[in-house]
Amino acid sequence: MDINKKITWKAEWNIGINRIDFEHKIFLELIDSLRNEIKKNSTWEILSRIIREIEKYAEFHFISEENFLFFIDYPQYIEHQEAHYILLERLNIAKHKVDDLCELLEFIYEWFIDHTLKEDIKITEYLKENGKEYHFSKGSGNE
Amino acid sequence: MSERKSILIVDDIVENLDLLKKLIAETDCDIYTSCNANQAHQLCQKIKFDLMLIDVRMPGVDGIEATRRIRKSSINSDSPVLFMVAKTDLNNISRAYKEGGVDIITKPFQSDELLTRLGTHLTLQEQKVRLQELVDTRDRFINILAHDLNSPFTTILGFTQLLAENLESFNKEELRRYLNLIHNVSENTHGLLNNLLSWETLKQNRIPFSPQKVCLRLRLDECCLLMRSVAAAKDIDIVVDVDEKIMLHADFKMLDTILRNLISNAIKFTPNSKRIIVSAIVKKDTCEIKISDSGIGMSDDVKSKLFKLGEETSVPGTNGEKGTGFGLILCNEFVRKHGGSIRVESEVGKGSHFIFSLPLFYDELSLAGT
Repeated sequence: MDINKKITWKAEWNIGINRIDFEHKIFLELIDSLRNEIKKNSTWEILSRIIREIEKYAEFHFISEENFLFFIDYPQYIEHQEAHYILLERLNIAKHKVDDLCELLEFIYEWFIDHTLKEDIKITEYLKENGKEYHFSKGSGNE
Repeated sequence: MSERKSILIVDDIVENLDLLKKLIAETDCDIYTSCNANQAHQLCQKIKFDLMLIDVRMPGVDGIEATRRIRKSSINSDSPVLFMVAKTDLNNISRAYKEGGVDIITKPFQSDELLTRLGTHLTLQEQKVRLQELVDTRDRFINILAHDLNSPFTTILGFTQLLAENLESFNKEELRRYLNLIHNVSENTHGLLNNLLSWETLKQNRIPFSPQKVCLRLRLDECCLLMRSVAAAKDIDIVVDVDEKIMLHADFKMLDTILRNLISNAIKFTPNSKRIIVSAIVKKDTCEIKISDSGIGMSDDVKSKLFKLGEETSVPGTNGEKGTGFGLILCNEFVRKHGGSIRVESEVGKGSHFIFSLPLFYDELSLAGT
């Protein structure tokens, strides 16, 4: 990963559910903010503030995504939720082991991309295969 | 905080255990780790923890079930538990509180927050233990006042009334016998009162602790002098085999109380015409003093309760002498105040050895070793 290169969104990461994609984009922007501050050699206070923001956004996004899965009766809801718990565990371990900030950045980036590509993409597949329409609250209309 | 604390961490992820161990190492506690419920349960059989940090999500038996098992069958049934749960794992967060977790650490956590919370719960636990101790002391006091101080009065009141009403009908020998009886009962009761007062002042930190150079042999000789009449009544010989060169760094009032209690116990539990041996061994910078009787001895069950408050341990002596089981608790406190320890070796029917250690006087360290 090139610390000098801005992290930008790639079309292949879109899972096709607008709101989830939107949240993923914000998440990626946060990761890029961290990259930028590491590049600038910013103080630990600034870095830890951004790490905390990433953490908080991850929590928000996971609950948001889990709610969505619940509303669409996603069959692997439990497994997906567990994957989120494990991600939080891994983030916790990684952020306390920061000897090398670039390593932490890379970890968070990989952590996000890996989950998005492997797990979240299954949601789209499920919707397509089952001809389901999606919505963000139980019983409400289409998005 | 006074004593070193023990913390147990249970988590199936080894990296988590390592991380927590590293963070908590700053608190200067003894840290034990375990990566599953069984292992944790086994550790809990052996070690009393001041705090347990348990991850809820574990494969097989989860943290909550593990805690139930620990509480059911181990010495840690009342040790406080902090559960660790992923921040978004809302179900387990409410389960953990319902299961009586004193607090929850959500992951990801901030290390300073984690340490502050641990510190708070360690302090709370320490206060809880201290409060329990105080309550036990009060209970013990009330118990002693209600029972043990009551019965000697029955003897004293009964015999004084008997003497007062029928003075002329007794000959000199009978009078001496009754008066001696009254005197002995009064002396025992007085000893008990002294112990109670010492204990109370010690507990309120009002007892001055001023260790100084003390000759062990001298204190022993004085103590035996006071005990002679009681020992003679049972034809018991007290042999003091202690080098007069041994100088302790001790508070002599406390030392006297320890010796008085241990020797009077030995007399109490030794049958007539047997011997009590007091000996001392100099170790590196401490002296181990041993009081051996050839008395009735005691079972493991009695031994395990001897130095604990709130446990009824008093056993009558070989001639039915009464006690309160309070003397040993006081001895334990006094020895601990000196940084020493006290233990008992005993077998039923074979007698007991009470062994306690006290620091040697510094100047005498090299000399005492020779």
